[in-house]
Amino acid sequence: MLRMRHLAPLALLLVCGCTSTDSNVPPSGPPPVSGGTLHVTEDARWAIASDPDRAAIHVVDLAARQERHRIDLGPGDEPGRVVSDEAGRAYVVLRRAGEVLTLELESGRVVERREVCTAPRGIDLDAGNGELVVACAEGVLARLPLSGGEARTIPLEPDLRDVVVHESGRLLVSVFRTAEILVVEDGAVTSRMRPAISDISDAFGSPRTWVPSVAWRMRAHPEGAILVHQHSISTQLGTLGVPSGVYYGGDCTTGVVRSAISIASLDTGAVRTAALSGPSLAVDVAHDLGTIYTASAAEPGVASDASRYGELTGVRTLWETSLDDTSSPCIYVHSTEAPASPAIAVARIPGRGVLAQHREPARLVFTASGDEIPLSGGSVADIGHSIFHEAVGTGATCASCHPEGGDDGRVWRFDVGARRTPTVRGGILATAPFHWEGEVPSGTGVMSGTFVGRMGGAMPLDYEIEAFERWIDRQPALPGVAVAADAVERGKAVFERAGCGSCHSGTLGTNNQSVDVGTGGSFQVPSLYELAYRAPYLHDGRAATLDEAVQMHADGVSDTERSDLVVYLRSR
Amino acid sequence: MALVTGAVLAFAPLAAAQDELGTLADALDPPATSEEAAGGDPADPFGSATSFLESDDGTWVLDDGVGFEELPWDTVDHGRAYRPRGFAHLGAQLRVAALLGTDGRAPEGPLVELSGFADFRYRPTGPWRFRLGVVASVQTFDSQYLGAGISKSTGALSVRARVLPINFDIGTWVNLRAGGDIGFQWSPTAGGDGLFDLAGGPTAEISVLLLDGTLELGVGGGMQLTAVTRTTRTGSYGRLAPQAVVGATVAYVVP
Repeated sequence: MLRMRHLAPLALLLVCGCTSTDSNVPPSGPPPVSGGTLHVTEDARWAIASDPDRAAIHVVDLAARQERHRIDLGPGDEPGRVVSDEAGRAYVVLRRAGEVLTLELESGRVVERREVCTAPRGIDLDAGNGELVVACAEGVLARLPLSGGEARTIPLEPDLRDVVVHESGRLLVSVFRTAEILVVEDGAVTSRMRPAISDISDAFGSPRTWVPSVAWRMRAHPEGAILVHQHSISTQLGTLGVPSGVYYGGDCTTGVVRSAISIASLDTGAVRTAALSGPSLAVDVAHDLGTIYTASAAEPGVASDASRYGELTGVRTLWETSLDDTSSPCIYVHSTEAPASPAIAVARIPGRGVLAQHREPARLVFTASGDEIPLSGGSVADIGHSIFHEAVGTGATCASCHPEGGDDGRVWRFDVGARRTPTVRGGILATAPFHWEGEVPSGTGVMSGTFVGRMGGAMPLDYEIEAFERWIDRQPALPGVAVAADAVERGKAVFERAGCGSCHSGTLGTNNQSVDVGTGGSFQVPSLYELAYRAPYLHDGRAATLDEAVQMHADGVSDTERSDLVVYLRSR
Repeated sequence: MALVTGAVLAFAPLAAAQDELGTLADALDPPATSEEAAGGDPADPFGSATSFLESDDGTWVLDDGVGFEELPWDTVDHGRAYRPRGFAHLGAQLRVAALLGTDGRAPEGPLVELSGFADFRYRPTGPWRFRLGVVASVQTFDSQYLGAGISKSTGALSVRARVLPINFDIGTWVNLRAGGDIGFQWSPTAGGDGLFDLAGGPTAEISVLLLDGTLELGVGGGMQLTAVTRTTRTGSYGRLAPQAVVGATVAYVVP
């Protein structure tokens, strides 16, 4: 909530509308929710909460129920996942800094920051080998010795998310947008597990096929791993203004995206999956004694008929046995823990239930009792951030299809053809007009067409749209991935010589025009950033790899040049 | 019984004050001449003395046996000499107060107001006054975006006319005044230009008059209506929440 309460009535403050807080909000504003930022040590003494909104790490003494240390970071560090060891140290992934921070819990001292990869995401402790294992979004697995030294990287595949070190020594690595689980042994993928595709008719009797996507969080489970992810509809949708195009629905059989839980058995390779009712933005999961806890980051919203939606946000509890119940298409939540406000992370406190992290105001909550531990730092309320995570009439949020401001990797089947979800990071306003045909000229058009027309939300007010545009436009793109500087230089030369820049011009790599390049019509020239993370490519996802996409465009370029060009494009 | 006794004790000073002050009707319709004030009986053996002691130009003409002396008539002992003297005075007042109440709908907290006023005395020698002022105030407020286009805001600034028709001096050291405000208030809205609403409510003060009545120190308060508005994507819904005002005042009255 945006709150300005002035205890001293200062007229000047009123006139200029200035507020001041002691928060360390990044210049880009609070980042989109990534979830899974809370860790509780095995002895239940400490809770470590990464706070990307305030660029800080909070160390909380659970016995005293108070924050013991706050470690302020650089505004662009973006702290994420955390693990700890028995020596009283915590290891925090700095997602944008590309580092792992080592922290001494008792003293709050930062021991060191070590470079690990371009975009680190998940982390786990391989105690047996004395290493940290880090999954990186650019597609490598990094092993970082606890005793010091540089990281060893193992190339796997793009879009890695979480990693779990199984007691057998095998690694389970989740892939963010496909929700696959890779089983890695001796540095190679030996098998894959994926939540099931489900065919369930919706409340109107229309058949719907749901495919797994966007694995927000994976944790260890006695069987192997537990995953909270999304299910996205692959059935054909209508277009703007056509009633069938509205993503109607609120339970798990309707709408176009829903949250789901999967438990993967490492022994059998089987994956049990069930969809959750309620908003679609479950971003973290914890498991304890047959009970599953999810953290929903969805902001309660308002549907176009002015009814409230998304009250079932926050921490939700369900029985693990619900996954085996085939009598219902949805898992109905056993209970919603207090307080019912968006939660970004949950963590098990061994023997004492679950602790939840809420971002605004910053606090930890013992979900069983409702007792709160306030975390330091001022308000990071931002209207644009709030709208981006608002669950509207269909249970969908902007973040459901644009997780973390990026894309869900989905190719949607509209009656006008297949359309790939675009990213909205990296300065989206400068790429107007929007959508693949360029038929949406402004943010207001996006709101009326998508937020209202498709998602079933109530039309935001002008100031909300302005705040939304302001916030989304400041979200930075993910950093490029450069592995060979000389290849980057050669690729850049190819890019210039082949005339790619005539359409892919400027900083963002687009002239904002619609051009027919022989792919079935005129489509907006896509921007050229985050290309290492945006597969599949082109308007309908027809190019599975960047190399394929380049091949479709770059006539007269040799295989070597094309390879260099791909390296250059991945580095942008 | 105790209650009745308390009420009697409470009203006793007021009754004494009324004996001294006369009534509001006296103030609005004062005797035209001192002769009339004295009863105006032509058979009065002092009537002739009265007639020559009084002149028409607002002075007493006193014959002390040595000669005549003219003195402004309101310097002569009337039993009370209300200050500041004269028919009208300008002044300025600062009130610092606390806003209380409304069950959290409107925030409790400080209020500061500055007013300019004109103070009129119905009769130069009488205790009754009439005060008319313009008040600008700033107060604690809420402006919250609650999500999904819903925002709550409360009044922050207001400009009001203040009328204090019940206004009299008790002796030369104390003034009691009461009346009310009417005007408008502005509430900031999340991301918007703000909203305007009616403002006002009853107010009262009791002041100690110092430095010949040019400095007033007092306590005051009353009630005011604070705007509480919820704005949604489909409209705004407002209400006026009554809040108690309790505070201290300081005023300067130009002599």
